[in-house]
Amino acid sequence: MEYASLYWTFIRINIKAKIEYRAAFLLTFLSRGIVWSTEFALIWVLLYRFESIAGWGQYEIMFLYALNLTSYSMAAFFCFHPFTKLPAKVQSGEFDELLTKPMNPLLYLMSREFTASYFSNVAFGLLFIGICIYHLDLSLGLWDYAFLLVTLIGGMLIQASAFIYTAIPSFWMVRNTSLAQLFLFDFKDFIRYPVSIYPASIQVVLTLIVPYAFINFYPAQYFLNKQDFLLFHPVFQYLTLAVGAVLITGAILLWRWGIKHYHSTGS
Amino acid sequence: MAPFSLFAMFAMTSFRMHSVYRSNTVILAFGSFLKLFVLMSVWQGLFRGNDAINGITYGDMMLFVLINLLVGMLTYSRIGSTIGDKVVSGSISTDLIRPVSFKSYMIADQWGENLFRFLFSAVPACAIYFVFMSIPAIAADPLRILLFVISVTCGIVIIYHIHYILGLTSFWTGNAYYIDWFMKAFYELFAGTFVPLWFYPQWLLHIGTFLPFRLVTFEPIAILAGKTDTAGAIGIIALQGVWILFLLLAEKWLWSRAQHKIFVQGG
Repeated sequence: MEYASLYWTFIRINIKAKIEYRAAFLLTFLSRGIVWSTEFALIWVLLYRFESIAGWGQYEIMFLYALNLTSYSMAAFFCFHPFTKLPAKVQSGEFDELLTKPMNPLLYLMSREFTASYFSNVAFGLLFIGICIYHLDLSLGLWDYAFLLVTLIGGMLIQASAFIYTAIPSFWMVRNTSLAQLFLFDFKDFIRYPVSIYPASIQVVLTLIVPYAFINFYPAQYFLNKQDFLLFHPVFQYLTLAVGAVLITGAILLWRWGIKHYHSTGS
Repeated sequence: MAPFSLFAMFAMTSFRMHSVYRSNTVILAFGSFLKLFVLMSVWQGLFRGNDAINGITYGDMMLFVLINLLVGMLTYSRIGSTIGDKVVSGSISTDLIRPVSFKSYMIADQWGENLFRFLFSAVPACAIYFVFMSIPAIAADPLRILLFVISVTCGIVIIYHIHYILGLTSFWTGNAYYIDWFMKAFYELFAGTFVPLWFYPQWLLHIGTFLPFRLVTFEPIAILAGKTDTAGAIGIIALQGVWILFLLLAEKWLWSRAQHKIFVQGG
Protein backbone atom coordinates (compact mmCIF):
# COMPACT_ATOMS: atom_id res chain seq x y z
CA MET A 1 0.00 0.00 0.00
CA GLU A 2 2.84 2.36 -0.80
CA TYR A 3 0.57 4.65 -2.81
CA ALA A 4 -2.26 4.80 -0.31
CA SER A 5 -2.49 8.57 -0.43
CA LEU A 6 -2.56 8.50 -4.24
CA TYR A 7 -5.47 6.04 -4.27
CA TRP A 8 -7.29 8.22 -1.79
CA THR A 9 -6.71 11.25 -4.04
CA PHE A 10 -8.33 9.44 -6.97
CA ILE A 11 -11.39 8.73 -4.87
CA ARG A 12 -11.56 12.29 -3.60
CA ILE A 13 -11.34 13.70 -7.12
CA ASN A 14 -14.21 11.46 -8.20
CA ILE A 15 -16.40 12.62 -5.35
CA LYS A 16 -15.55 16.26 -5.99
CA ALA A 17 -16.27 15.93 -9.70
CA LYS A 18 -19.72 14.54 -8.96
CA ILE A 19 -20.65 17.09 -6.32
CA GLU A 20 -19.51 19.97 -8.52
CA TYR A 21 -22.71 19.68 -10.58
CA ARG A 22 -25.06 19.91 -7.69
CA ALA A 23 -28.34 19.78 -9.63
CA ALA A 24 -27.30 16.71 -11.61
CA PHE A 25 -26.07 15.02 -8.43
CA LEU A 26 -29.37 15.68 -6.72
CA LEU A 27 -31.36 14.46 -9.71
CA THR A 28 -29.34 11.25 -9.79
CA PHE A 29 -29.75 10.84 -6.06
CA LEU A 30 -33.52 11.23 -6.25
CA SER A 31 -34.23 9.24 -9.39
CA ARG A 32 -32.26 6.27 -8.10
CA GLY A 33 -33.89 6.66 -4.70
CA ILE A 34 -37.32 6.49 -6.29
CA VAL A 35 -36.44 3.20 -7.97
CA TRP A 36 -35.14 1.60 -4.75
CA SER A 37 -38.15 2.85 -2.83
CA THR A 38 -40.46 1.37 -5.45
CA GLU A 39 -38.77 -2.00 -5.28
CA PHE A 40 -38.90 -1.86 -1.49
CA ALA A 41 -42.58 -0.92 -1.55
CA LEU A 42 -43.40 -3.65 -4.07
CA ILE A 43 -42.35 -6.29 -1.56
CA TRP A 44 -44.88 -4.77 0.79
CA VAL A 45 -47.50 -4.92 -1.99
CA LEU A 46 -46.56 -8.52 -2.85
CA LEU A 47 -47.22 -9.64 0.71
CA TYR A 48 -50.20 -7.37 1.32
CA ARG A 49 -52.81 -10.09 0.66
CA PHE A 50 -50.69 -13.11 1.49
CA GLU A 51 -49.09 -11.75 4.69
CA SER A 52 -46.19 -14.18 4.76
CA ILE A 53 -44.06 -16.53 2.70
CA ALA A 54 -42.44 -19.55 4.36
CA GLY A 55 -43.12 -17.91 7.72
CA TRP A 56 -41.42 -14.61 6.82
CA GLY A 57 -43.58 -11.51 7.13
CA GLN A 58 -43.70 -8.30 5.08
CA TYR A 59 -41.02 -6.35 6.89
CA GLU A 60 -38.82 -9.40 7.39
CA ILE A 61 -38.57 -9.86 3.63
CA MET A 62 -38.07 -6.14 3.21
CA PHE A 63 -35.19 -6.47 5.67
CA LEU A 64 -33.63 -9.09 3.38
CA TYR A 65 -33.92 -6.62 0.51
CA ALA A 66 -32.39 -3.79 2.55
CA LEU A 67 -29.36 -5.89 3.59
CA ASN A 68 -28.78 -6.93 -0.02
CA LEU A 69 -29.15 -3.41 -1.41
CA THR A 70 -26.85 -1.85 1.18
CA SER A 71 -24.02 -4.37 0.88
CA TYR A 72 -24.32 -4.37 -2.91
CA SER A 73 -24.03 -0.59 -3.05
CA MET A 74 -21.06 -0.55 -0.69
CA ALA A 75 -19.28 -2.91 -3.08
CA ALA A 76 -20.52 -1.09 -6.19
CA PHE A 77 -18.76 2.13 -5.10
CA PHE A 78 -15.45 0.49 -5.96
CA CYS A 79 -16.45 -2.35 -8.23
CA PHE A 80 -19.30 -1.52 -10.57
CA HIS A 81 -17.44 0.54 -13.12
CA PRO A 82 -14.03 -1.13 -12.96
CA PHE A 83 -15.30 -4.66 -13.43
CA THR A 84 -18.43 -4.36 -15.53
CA LYS A 85 -16.52 -2.17 -18.00
CA LEU A 86 -13.44 -4.43 -17.99
CA PRO A 87 -14.50 -6.46 -21.07
CA ALA A 88 -14.75 -3.25 -23.09
CA LYS A 89 -11.34 -2.12 -21.79
CA VAL A 90 -9.69 -5.40 -22.74
CA GLN A 91 -11.31 -5.27 -26.16
CA SER A 92 -10.18 -1.71 -26.85
CA GLY A 93 -6.67 -2.23 -25.46
CA GLU A 94 -7.17 0.40 -22.78
CA PHE A 95 -6.44 -2.27 -20.21
CA ASP A 96 -2.86 -2.73 -21.51
CA GLU A 97 -2.08 0.89 -20.82
CA LEU A 98 -3.26 0.37 -17.28
CA LEU A 99 -0.79 -2.45 -16.75
CA THR A 100 2.10 -0.13 -17.55
CA LYS A 101 1.36 2.05 -14.53
CA PRO A 102 3.70 1.47 -11.59
CA MET A 103 0.77 0.66 -9.34
CA ASN A 104 -1.36 -2.27 -8.34
CA PRO A 105 -3.81 -2.54 -11.28
CA LEU A 106 -6.65 -3.73 -9.06
CA LEU A 107 -6.40 -0.87 -6.56
CA TYR A 108 -5.72 1.62 -9.33
CA LEU A 109 -8.88 0.62 -11.20
CA MET A 110 -11.01 0.55 -8.06
CA SER A 111 -9.94 4.00 -6.89
CA ARG A 112 -9.79 5.72 -10.28
CA GLU A 113 -13.27 4.55 -11.21
CA PHE A 114 -14.86 5.01 -7.83
CA THR A 115 -18.50 5.90 -8.47
CA ALA A 116 -19.79 8.55 -6.11
CA SER A 117 -23.42 8.19 -7.19
CA TYR A 118 -23.74 5.05 -5.09
CA PHE A 119 -24.07 7.31 -2.06
CA SER A 120 -27.72 7.37 -3.01
CA ASN A 121 -28.02 3.59 -2.85
CA VAL A 122 -26.23 3.32 0.46
CA ALA A 123 -28.30 6.11 1.98
CA PHE A 124 -31.55 4.50 0.90
CA GLY A 125 -30.34 1.04 1.91
CA LEU A 126 -29.57 2.24 5.41
CA LEU A 127 -32.89 4.08 5.56
CA PHE A 128 -34.69 0.84 4.62
CA ILE A 129 -32.81 -1.12 7.28
CA GLY A 130 -33.92 1.53 9.77
CA ILE A 131 -37.55 1.32 8.63
CA CYS A 132 -37.54 -2.46 9.05
CA ILE A 133 -35.95 -2.32 12.49
CA TYR A 134 -38.58 0.21 13.51
CA HIS A 135 -41.56 -1.71 12.12
CA LEU A 136 -40.42 -5.07 13.44
CA ASP A 137 -39.88 -3.46 16.82
CA LEU A 138 -36.46 -5.08 17.15
CA SER A 139 -34.66 -4.09 20.32
CA LEU A 140 -31.04 -4.08 19.26
CA GLY A 141 -28.18 -3.32 21.64
CA LEU A 142 -24.85 -1.74 20.85
CA TRP A 143 -23.30 -5.12 20.07
CA ASP A 144 -26.11 -5.96 17.71
CA TYR A 145 -25.45 -2.79 15.75
CA ALA A 146 -21.75 -3.63 15.69
CA PHE A 147 -22.64 -7.07 14.35
CA LEU A 148 -24.93 -5.45 11.76
CA LEU A 149 -21.95 -3.44 10.54
CA VAL A 150 -19.77 -6.58 10.43
CA THR A 151 -22.51 -8.34 8.46
CA LEU A 152 -22.75 -5.50 5.97
CA ILE A 153 -18.97 -5.50 5.50
CA GLY A 154 -19.01 -9.26 4.99
CA GLY A 155 -21.86 -8.87 2.51
CA MET A 156 -19.92 -6.15 0.74
CA LEU A 157 -16.93 -8.49 0.35
CA ILE A 158 -19.15 -11.24 -1.09
CA GLN A 159 -20.70 -8.80 -3.57
CA ALA A 160 -17.29 -7.36 -4.46
CA SER A 161 -15.87 -10.81 -5.19
CA ALA A 162 -18.86 -11.53 -7.43
CA PHE A 163 -17.89 -8.47 -9.48
CA ILE A 164 -14.25 -9.60 -9.71
CA TYR A 165 -14.92 -13.29 -10.49
CA THR A 166 -17.33 -12.42 -13.31
CA ALA A 167 -14.85 -9.95 -14.83
CA ILE A 168 -11.83 -12.27 -14.90
CA PRO A 169 -12.97 -14.44 -17.88
CA SER A 170 -12.84 -11.30 -20.04
CA PHE A 171 -9.03 -11.56 -20.00
CA TRP A 172 -9.42 -14.38 -22.51
CA MET A 173 -12.99 -14.22 -23.78
CA VAL A 174 -13.83 -11.04 -25.57
CA ARG A 175 -17.30 -9.83 -24.71
CA ASN A 176 -18.78 -12.01 -22.01
CA THR A 177 -21.16 -9.45 -20.57
CA SER A 178 -24.04 -11.88 -20.29
CA LEU A 179 -22.05 -14.05 -17.87
CA ALA A 180 -21.71 -11.06 -15.56
CA GLN A 181 -25.38 -10.30 -16.04
CA LEU A 182 -26.21 -13.86 -15.03
CA PHE A 183 -24.22 -13.97 -11.79
CA LEU A 184 -24.46 -10.35 -10.72
CA PHE A 185 -28.16 -9.84 -11.36
CA ASP A 186 -30.21 -12.84 -12.45
CA PHE A 187 -28.70 -15.14 -9.84
CA LYS A 188 -29.12 -12.56 -7.12
CA ASP A 189 -32.87 -12.58 -7.68
CA PHE A 190 -32.87 -15.71 -5.52
CA ILE A 191 -31.92 -13.88 -2.34
CA ARG A 192 -34.71 -11.34 -2.63
CA TYR A 193 -36.78 -13.98 -0.85
CA PRO A 194 -36.01 -16.37 1.98
CA VAL A 195 -33.86 -19.18 0.63
CA SER A 196 -36.16 -21.64 2.40
CA ILE A 197 -38.76 -21.36 -0.41
CA TYR A 198 -36.45 -23.12 -2.88
CA PRO A 199 -35.76 -26.83 -3.33
CA ALA A 200 -32.91 -28.27 -1.23
CA SER A 201 -30.51 -28.40 -4.19
CA ILE A 202 -30.83 -24.63 -4.76
CA GLN A 203 -30.35 -24.00 -1.04
CA VAL A 204 -27.07 -25.91 -1.20
CA VAL A 205 -25.93 -23.95 -4.25
CA LEU A 206 -26.74 -20.62 -2.60
CA THR A 207 -24.91 -21.64 0.56
CA LEU A 208 -21.84 -23.50 -0.65
CA ILE A 209 -21.23 -22.74 -4.32
CA VAL A 210 -22.50 -19.20 -4.96
CA PRO A 211 -22.90 -18.27 -1.29
CA TYR A 212 -25.23 -15.32 -1.72
CA ALA A 213 -27.40 -16.62 1.13
CA PHE A 214 -24.77 -15.28 3.53
CA ILE A 215 -25.45 -11.73 2.32
CA ASN A 216 -28.87 -11.60 3.91
CA PHE A 217 -30.68 -14.88 4.62
CA TYR A 218 -28.38 -16.34 7.31
CA PRO A 219 -27.43 -13.14 9.16
CA ALA A 220 -31.04 -11.90 9.07
CA GLN A 221 -32.00 -14.85 11.26
CA TYR A 222 -29.83 -13.46 14.01
CA PHE A 223 -31.58 -10.09 13.97
CA LEU A 224 -35.07 -11.51 13.49
CA ASN A 225 -34.68 -14.38 15.98
CA LYS A 226 -35.41 -17.06 13.40
CA GLN A 227 -34.44 -20.72 13.25
CA ASP A 228 -34.68 -21.44 9.53
CA PHE A 229 -31.33 -23.11 9.04
CA LEU A 230 -32.67 -25.85 6.82
CA LEU A 231 -29.89 -28.31 6.05
CA PHE A 232 -27.22 -26.32 7.82
CA HIS A 233 -25.95 -25.40 11.27
CA PRO A 234 -27.18 -22.28 13.14
CA VAL A 235 -23.56 -21.08 13.39
CA PHE A 236 -23.97 -19.96 9.77
CA GLN A 237 -25.67 -16.77 10.95
CA TYR A 238 -22.31 -15.51 12.20
CA LEU A 239 -20.19 -16.50 9.21
CA THR A 240 -20.89 -13.72 6.70
CA LEU A 241 -17.62 -11.89 7.28
CA ALA A 242 -15.59 -15.11 7.16
CA VAL A 243 -17.23 -16.20 3.90
CA GLY A 244 -16.63 -12.74 2.47
CA ALA A 245 -12.96 -12.82 3.49
CA VAL A 246 -12.37 -16.22 1.90
CA LEU A 247 -14.13 -15.21 -1.32
CA ILE A 248 -12.30 -11.93 -1.73
CA THR A 249 -8.93 -13.59 -1.08
CA GLY A 250 -9.71 -16.14 -3.77
CA ALA A 251 -10.85 -13.38 -6.12
CA ILE A 252 -7.62 -11.40 -5.67
CA LEU A 253 -5.44 -14.49 -6.17
CA LEU A 254 -7.36 -15.44 -9.30
CA TRP A 255 -7.11 -11.86 -10.58
CA ARG A 256 -3.31 -11.92 -10.15
CA TRP A 257 -3.08 -15.28 -11.86
CA GLY A 258 -5.30 -13.91 -14.64
CA ILE A 259 -3.08 -10.89 -15.24
CA LYS A 260 -0.01 -13.13 -15.40
CA HIS A 261 -1.60 -15.26 -18.10
CA TYR A 262 -3.22 -12.42 -19.96
CA HIS A 263 -2.51 -11.84 -23.62
CA SER A 264 -3.44 -8.53 -25.12
CA THR A 265 -5.94 -8.46 -27.97
CA GLY A 266 -3.36 -6.36 -29.74
CA SER A 267 -5.79 -3.69 -30.76
CA MET B 1 -45.28 6.98 -41.44
CA ALA B 2 -42.38 5.60 -43.44
CA PRO B 3 -42.91 2.77 -45.91
CA PHE B 4 -43.15 -0.54 -44.14
CA SER B 5 -40.19 -2.06 -46.00
CA LEU B 6 -37.85 0.59 -44.59
CA PHE B 7 -39.22 -0.01 -41.11
CA ALA B 8 -38.67 -3.76 -41.50
CA MET B 9 -35.15 -3.19 -42.78
CA PHE B 10 -34.16 -1.10 -39.78
CA ALA B 11 -35.70 -3.68 -37.45
CA MET B 12 -33.82 -6.52 -39.18
CA THR B 13 -30.52 -4.61 -38.96
CA SER B 14 -30.99 -4.20 -35.23
CA PHE B 15 -31.98 -7.87 -34.89
CA ARG B 16 -28.82 -8.99 -36.70
CA MET B 17 -26.67 -6.68 -34.64
CA HIS B 18 -27.89 -8.37 -31.49
CA SER B 19 -27.44 -11.89 -32.83
CA VAL B 20 -23.72 -11.39 -33.57
CA TYR B 21 -22.73 -12.63 -30.13
CA ARG B 22 -24.50 -15.93 -30.32
CA SER B 23 -22.65 -17.62 -27.44
CA ASN B 24 -24.40 -15.15 -25.17
CA THR B 25 -27.83 -16.46 -26.08
CA VAL B 26 -27.54 -19.68 -24.07
CA ILE B 27 -26.69 -17.68 -20.96
CA LEU B 28 -29.45 -15.20 -21.77
CA ALA B 29 -32.04 -17.97 -21.95
CA PHE B 30 -30.72 -19.54 -18.76
CA GLY B 31 -30.96 -16.18 -16.99
CA SER B 32 -34.58 -15.81 -18.06
CA PHE B 33 -35.31 -19.30 -16.83
CA LEU B 34 -33.75 -18.50 -13.44
CA LYS B 35 -36.03 -15.49 -13.08
CA LEU B 36 -38.97 -17.69 -14.00
CA PHE B 37 -37.91 -20.28 -11.46
CA VAL B 38 -37.60 -17.68 -8.68
CA LEU B 39 -41.08 -16.35 -9.43
CA MET B 40 -42.47 -19.87 -9.50
CA SER B 41 -41.00 -20.62 -6.07
CA VAL B 42 -42.32 -17.33 -4.71
CA TRP B 43 -45.87 -17.93 -5.88
CA GLN B 44 -45.74 -21.53 -4.71
CA GLY B 45 -44.65 -20.27 -1.30
CA LEU B 46 -47.35 -17.60 -1.21
CA PHE B 47 -50.14 -19.96 -2.24
CA ARG B 48 -49.09 -22.70 0.20
CA GLY B 49 -52.19 -23.65 2.17
CA ASN B 50 -54.50 -21.52 -0.01
CA ASP B 51 -56.40 -22.81 -3.02
CA ALA B 52 -57.40 -19.42 -4.32
CA ILE B 53 -56.97 -15.85 -3.19
CA ASN B 54 -59.34 -13.20 -4.58
CA GLY B 55 -60.49 -15.89 -7.02
CA ILE B 56 -56.98 -16.42 -8.40
CA THR B 57 -55.35 -19.85 -8.22
CA TYR B 58 -51.69 -20.82 -8.41
CA GLY B 59 -52.37 -22.12 -11.94
CA ASP B 60 -53.74 -18.72 -13.01
CA MET B 61 -50.71 -17.10 -11.48
CA MET B 62 -48.19 -19.23 -13.36
CA LEU B 63 -50.02 -18.56 -16.62
CA PHE B 64 -49.72 -14.88 -15.76
CA VAL B 65 -45.99 -15.18 -15.03
CA LEU B 66 -45.25 -17.06 -18.27
CA ILE B 67 -47.19 -14.74 -20.56
CA ASN B 68 -45.78 -11.79 -18.70
CA LEU B 69 -42.26 -13.03 -19.48
CA LEU B 70 -43.09 -13.37 -23.19
CA VAL B 71 -45.00 -10.12 -23.53
CA GLY B 72 -42.54 -8.31 -21.28
CA MET B 73 -39.76 -8.93 -23.80
CA LEU B 74 -41.85 -7.28 -26.51
CA THR B 75 -42.86 -4.27 -24.45
CA TYR B 76 -39.32 -3.67 -23.21
CA SER B 77 -38.07 -0.28 -24.28
CA ARG B 78 -35.09 1.95 -23.72
CA ILE B 79 -36.20 4.37 -26.41
CA GLY B 80 -36.43 7.16 -23.85
CA SER B 81 -32.85 7.02 -22.66
CA THR B 82 -31.53 6.40 -26.19
CA ILE B 83 -33.17 9.60 -27.41
CA GLY B 84 -31.87 11.40 -24.34
CA ASP B 85 -28.31 10.23 -25.03
CA LYS B 86 -28.62 11.25 -28.67
CA VAL B 87 -29.83 14.70 -27.73
CA VAL B 88 -27.12 15.20 -25.12
CA SER B 89 -24.31 13.97 -27.39
CA GLY B 90 -25.72 15.69 -30.48
CA SER B 91 -25.68 12.52 -32.57
CA ILE B 92 -29.41 13.02 -33.13
CA SER B 93 -28.47 15.24 -36.08
CA THR B 94 -27.46 12.20 -38.19
CA ASP B 95 -30.67 10.39 -37.26
CA LEU B 96 -32.72 13.32 -38.45
CA ILE B 97 -31.41 13.08 -42.02
CA ARG B 98 -32.38 9.41 -42.41
CA PRO B 99 -35.02 8.69 -45.08
CA VAL B 100 -37.45 7.60 -42.40
CA SER B 101 -39.11 9.54 -39.61
CA PHE B 102 -37.15 9.68 -36.39
CA LYS B 103 -39.92 7.98 -34.46
CA SER B 104 -40.23 5.07 -36.90
CA TYR B 105 -36.49 4.59 -36.82
CA MET B 106 -36.35 4.51 -33.02
CA ILE B 107 -39.27 2.09 -32.80
CA ALA B 108 -37.90 -0.18 -35.54
CA ASP B 109 -34.55 -0.32 -33.78
CA GLN B 110 -36.24 -1.32 -30.51
CA TRP B 111 -38.39 -3.91 -32.30
CA GLY B 112 -35.36 -5.67 -33.70
CA GLU B 113 -33.79 -5.94 -30.27
CA ASN B 114 -37.02 -7.07 -28.63
CA LEU B 115 -37.70 -9.70 -31.26
CA PHE B 116 -34.22 -11.06 -30.69
CA ARG B 117 -34.68 -11.24 -26.92
CA PHE B 118 -38.13 -12.71 -27.35
CA LEU B 119 -36.92 -15.53 -29.60
CA PHE B 120 -33.62 -16.29 -27.87
CA SER B 121 -34.36 -15.55 -24.24
CA ALA B 122 -38.06 -15.72 -23.39
CA VAL B 123 -39.17 -18.53 -25.71
CA PRO B 124 -36.37 -20.94 -24.69
CA ALA B 125 -36.96 -20.13 -21.01
CA CYS B 126 -40.64 -20.98 -21.38
CA ALA B 127 -39.73 -24.13 -23.31
CA ILE B 128 -37.48 -25.27 -20.45
CA TYR B 129 -40.33 -24.58 -18.07
CA PHE B 130 -42.78 -26.63 -20.15
CA VAL B 131 -40.39 -29.56 -20.33
CA PHE B 132 -39.35 -29.69 -16.67
CA MET B 133 -42.31 -28.16 -14.83
CA SER B 134 -45.73 -28.16 -16.42
CA ILE B 135 -47.78 -26.76 -19.25
CA PRO B 136 -50.43 -24.30 -18.08
CA ALA B 137 -53.91 -24.74 -19.43
CA ILE B 138 -55.30 -22.01 -21.66
CA ALA B 139 -58.88 -22.23 -22.83
CA ALA B 140 -58.55 -22.17 -26.61
CA ASP B 141 -61.30 -19.66 -27.17
CA PRO B 142 -60.52 -17.96 -30.51
CA LEU B 143 -62.41 -14.78 -29.60
CA ARG B 144 -60.48 -14.39 -26.38
CA ILE B 145 -57.17 -14.97 -28.16
CA LEU B 146 -58.10 -12.40 -30.80
CA LEU B 147 -58.99 -9.81 -28.15
CA PHE B 148 -55.71 -10.58 -26.38
CA VAL B 149 -53.68 -10.06 -29.56
CA ILE B 150 -55.41 -6.75 -30.27
CA SER B 151 -54.96 -5.42 -26.74
CA VAL B 152 -51.33 -6.57 -26.52
CA THR B 153 -50.57 -4.74 -29.76
CA CYS B 154 -52.22 -1.61 -28.37
CA GLY B 155 -50.23 -2.07 -25.16
CA ILE B 156 -46.96 -2.15 -27.09
CA VAL B 157 -47.93 1.00 -29.00
CA ILE B 158 -48.76 2.73 -25.70
CA ILE B 159 -45.53 1.88 -23.91
CA TYR B 160 -43.32 2.80 -26.88
CA HIS B 161 -45.01 6.18 -27.13
CA ILE B 162 -44.66 6.87 -23.44
CA HIS B 163 -40.93 6.16 -23.69
CA TYR B 164 -40.65 8.24 -26.83
CA ILE B 165 -42.39 11.22 -25.24
CA LEU B 166 -40.23 10.96 -22.13
CA GLY B 167 -37.19 10.87 -24.40
CA LEU B 168 -38.31 14.07 -26.11
CA THR B 169 -38.35 15.87 -22.77
CA SER B 170 -34.55 15.69 -22.82
CA PHE B 171 -34.59 18.46 -25.45
CA TRP B 172 -35.53 20.76 -22.61
CA THR B 173 -33.76 19.18 -19.65
CA GLY B 174 -30.52 18.46 -21.50
CA ASN B 175 -30.11 15.32 -19.46
CA ALA B 176 -30.94 11.69 -20.18
CA TYR B 177 -30.20 10.09 -16.91
CA TYR B 178 -33.52 10.30 -15.14
CA ILE B 179 -35.65 8.87 -17.96
CA ASP B 180 -34.98 5.16 -17.44
CA TRP B 181 -35.08 5.39 -13.67
CA PHE B 182 -38.34 7.27 -13.41
CA MET B 183 -39.91 5.07 -16.04
CA LYS B 184 -38.77 1.89 -14.30
CA ALA B 185 -40.17 3.05 -10.97
CA PHE B 186 -43.57 4.09 -12.29
CA TYR B 187 -43.91 1.10 -14.55
CA GLU B 188 -43.01 -1.40 -11.84
CA LEU B 189 -45.39 0.14 -9.37
CA PHE B 190 -48.45 0.69 -11.59
CA ALA B 191 -48.19 -1.79 -14.46
CA GLY B 192 -48.97 -4.82 -12.32
CA THR B 193 -46.35 -6.94 -14.05
CA PHE B 194 -44.57 -8.20 -10.95
CA VAL B 195 -47.48 -8.27 -8.53
CA PRO B 196 -50.72 -8.49 -10.52
CA LEU B 197 -53.20 -5.73 -9.72
CA TRP B 198 -55.57 -8.39 -8.33
CA PHE B 199 -53.53 -8.38 -5.13
CA TYR B 200 -53.06 -4.61 -4.78
CA PRO B 201 -54.44 -2.65 -1.85
CA GLN B 202 -57.51 -0.69 -2.89
CA TRP B 203 -56.01 2.79 -2.63
CA LEU B 204 -52.98 1.91 -4.76
CA LEU B 205 -55.23 0.26 -7.33
CA HIS B 206 -57.23 3.49 -7.58
CA ILE B 207 -54.17 5.50 -8.51
CA GLY B 208 -53.14 2.86 -11.04
CA THR B 209 -56.55 2.90 -12.71
CA PHE B 210 -55.99 6.44 -13.94
CA LEU B 211 -52.56 5.69 -15.40
CA PRO B 212 -51.93 3.96 -18.73
CA PHE B 213 -49.34 1.47 -17.41
CA ARG B 214 -51.78 -1.30 -16.48
CA LEU B 215 -53.01 -1.32 -20.09
CA VAL B 216 -49.61 -2.42 -21.38
CA THR B 217 -49.37 -6.03 -20.21
CA PHE B 218 -51.59 -6.59 -17.20
CA GLU B 219 -54.99 -6.03 -18.83
CA PRO B 220 -54.17 -8.04 -21.99
CA ILE B 221 -53.08 -10.99 -19.85
CA ALA B 222 -56.20 -10.69 -17.71
CA ILE B 223 -58.21 -10.97 -20.93
CA LEU B 224 -56.35 -14.10 -22.04
CA ALA B 225 -56.62 -15.69 -18.61
CA GLY B 226 -60.38 -15.19 -18.71
CA LYS B 227 -60.49 -12.81 -15.75
CA THR B 228 -62.06 -10.10 -17.90
CA ASP B 229 -65.22 -10.95 -19.87
CA THR B 230 -65.77 -10.04 -23.54
CA ALA B 231 -67.59 -6.79 -22.77
CA GLY B 232 -64.87 -5.80 -20.33
CA ALA B 233 -62.20 -6.66 -22.88
CA ILE B 234 -63.78 -4.44 -25.52
CA GLY B 235 -63.95 -1.67 -22.93
CA ILE B 236 -60.23 -2.11 -22.24
CA ILE B 237 -59.39 -1.94 -25.95
CA ALA B 238 -61.50 1.21 -26.31
CA LEU B 239 -59.67 2.77 -23.38
CA GLN B 240 -56.35 1.81 -24.99
CA GLY B 241 -57.53 3.54 -28.17
CA VAL B 242 -58.24 6.72 -26.25
CA TRP B 243 -54.81 6.63 -24.64
CA ILE B 244 -53.09 6.02 -27.98
CA LEU B 245 -54.91 8.99 -29.47
CA PHE B 246 -53.93 11.18 -26.54
CA LEU B 247 -50.29 10.06 -26.67
CA LEU B 248 -50.11 10.61 -30.44
CA LEU B 249 -51.41 14.16 -30.07
CA ALA B 250 -49.03 14.87 -27.20
CA GLU B 251 -46.13 13.46 -29.19
CA LYS B 252 -46.96 15.52 -32.32
CA TRP B 253 -47.15 18.68 -30.26
CA LEU B 254 -43.92 17.99 -28.36
CA TRP B 255 -42.08 17.03 -31.53
CA SER B 256 -43.02 20.25 -33.28
CA ARG B 257 -41.73 22.17 -30.28
CA ALA B 258 -38.59 20.03 -30.10
CA GLN B 259 -37.73 20.63 -33.76
CA HIS B 260 -37.83 24.31 -33.03
CA LYS B 261 -35.49 23.64 -30.16
CA ILE B 262 -32.98 21.84 -32.44
CA PHE B 263 -33.05 24.75 -34.82
CA VAL B 264 -32.20 27.13 -32.01
CA GLN B 265 -29.38 24.95 -30.70
CA GLY B 266 -27.93 24.40 -34.16
CA GLY B 267 -27.76 28.09 -34.96
